[in-house]
This record gives sequence, C-alpha cells and structure tokens, in this order.
Amino acid sequence: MSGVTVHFPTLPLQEAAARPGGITRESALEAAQENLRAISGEGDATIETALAALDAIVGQAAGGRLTPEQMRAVLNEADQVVNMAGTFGYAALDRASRALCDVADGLLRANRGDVAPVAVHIRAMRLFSPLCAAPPAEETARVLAELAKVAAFYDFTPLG
Amino acid sequence: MAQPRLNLQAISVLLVDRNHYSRALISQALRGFGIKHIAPCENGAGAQEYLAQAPVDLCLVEAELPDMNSTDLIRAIRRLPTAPLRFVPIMVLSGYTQFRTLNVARDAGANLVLKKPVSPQALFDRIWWLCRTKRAYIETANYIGPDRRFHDTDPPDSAYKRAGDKTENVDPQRIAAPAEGASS
Repeated sequence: MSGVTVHFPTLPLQEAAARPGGITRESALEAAQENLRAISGEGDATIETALAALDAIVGQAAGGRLTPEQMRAVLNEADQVVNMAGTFGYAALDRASRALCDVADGLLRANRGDVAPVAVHIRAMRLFSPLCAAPPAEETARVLAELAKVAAFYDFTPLG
Repeated sequence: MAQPRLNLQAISVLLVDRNHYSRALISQALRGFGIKHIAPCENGAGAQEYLAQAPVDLCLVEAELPDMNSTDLIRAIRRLPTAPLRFVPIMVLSGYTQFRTLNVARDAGANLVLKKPVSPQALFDRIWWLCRTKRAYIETANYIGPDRRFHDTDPPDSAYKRAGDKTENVDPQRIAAPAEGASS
C-alpha cells in the first residue's frame, strides 16, 4: 500500500503520566468534585443568562418567525443550558432544554422559522430554572409530556 | 496492592471552549486531577496563537468554536511540521446539538470525543486511557491522526465503535497495565 506512513510517536503526555508519584483515580475525582462545588453558584447565573438570551431572541421574531441565524442562536444558547443543567443535576430543566434543542434543530433542518414552539419550550425552561421554586412532580411530568407533543407534531427525532 | 496512579502535575493542557463558565468547570476538574498548567482559549485563532508559542501535552477542544469548526483546528494541528506536537492527543468536547457531527471530528484526526456535560469521572477515565494506551498514528494524503483500529485494547467508550467492537465501559483498573506489545 503506498502513500501511508505509520508513526509510533513517544507522547510527552504518556511519559509525564508514568513518572513516580501522582494521584489515584479516587483522590482525583474527590478533588475535582470539591473544586466544582466551589464554583457551582455561578452555574445558576449562567443558566439565567442563557434564558435571558433566549427570551431576547424570541422577542426579535418578526411575523411569528425566526430567521435561520436566530434559530442557530437558539440552538447555541439551549445547548449551554443542557450543559449546565446536566452538570448540576437539574433533571427537568435538562429534559426541557434538550427538547428545545431537538425542536430548534428540526425547524432549522426543515427550513421553518416557527417561533411558537420555541417560545413554549423557553417558558417551560423558566419553570424549571434553579431560581424558581421546583414545581410538583406531577406538574413537571405534565409539562414535559406536553413538550413531547410539540416534537411529535413536527415529527422531529431527538438529537442524542 | 497499591492503587495505580497518574502523574499529571507536569503536563500542559490547551482548553478551547467558547463559554467562559464551561472553561471554568473543566479547568476546575483538571486542577483536581493535579494538572497545573492549563491554557484556556475561547476560539480557534487564540488556540493556534498559543500553540505557535508553547507546546502542549493534551488538547481539549469544543466541537463548534465561534470562529472556526473544531475540525479545522484539529487538521491544522495534525499538519504541524514538528513532532510531538502534531501527534498531541486531542479530545473533542461535544455539546448535545453537535453530536451528529462527531464522525467529522474523528475524520479530522481527533483521538476521542466526549459528550457534554462532562463529568469528572468521564474526563479522568479518558485522560487515563490516553496516558496508558499506545496508539499508532496514520499519515495519508487525506488523514493524519490516531489509528482508528483497536486490536488488543478496547476503545474507552461507544462513540467510536464499529458494530463488531466490544461494548464495555472503560475500566481504569483493567487498562492500567496494557498487554505487553499491544498494538492499537
């Protein structure tokens, strides 16, 4: 076979990691969790910032439609909320923001700019925001079920 | 029996992510692992600028950067003239909406893909795997990057697997001492 070179590089990462000393997996994870706890408060603020950005994007919709650029911005902000909600274990917010990603991605692919399904997801995300009082489990389940109907209406499949 | 250890104190990590808080979260986890040198960048241009000045031992790159696609950055690194920087392990951090594009990251020469939200466990286990698993690098006209075939050592997660590969989760105890002469 011509035009193929196989390298067996010595990686500085592997050399350094093999030196004596170091940390066990258990100690590393313990220290990492402690470090994360120290900045967890900022996570809630980051979620609020993303929700405010989503509200602002929806507020810019003209004639009930978002432009593809605005829909991409929705995806970007919703993705940040998924990340934060997953990191800090906000299960309902995680599901609602994933649902928004699924719908926004589907709308973008279908070349549709419908703002209503986006707005209803953002309202649900507000409901599940860490700065709001957590709704009862029954209400949470009902809201998430209604969001699922939106995706089903459009026949969009989940991203992940 | 003493638990296996990983010495990450001397390594240098380039962390590229557009979100300030996301960078802070990952940096905090890395510091917990004992990593002292972390270079945070918010875009691809900043990352390339940093790489031109200082070598790094590990790159963590968000899948979608504000100024370029992560694949462009990965390809640029893989085509650097100097080793070992061109073979630096690259882990792509994918958001929920970017998961469909992961095959592109693989084709660009990334070593691993990790889906956000990134847990300390998942991050540590993949760094461990990168530190303890020897892999050949393939260079062709269209591809420069790690050999995608796994023979004696399993890949660390399901992201890269073909249908016939085993589907076990990574186990640091098992991969701590790869088989002698293991080719990857």
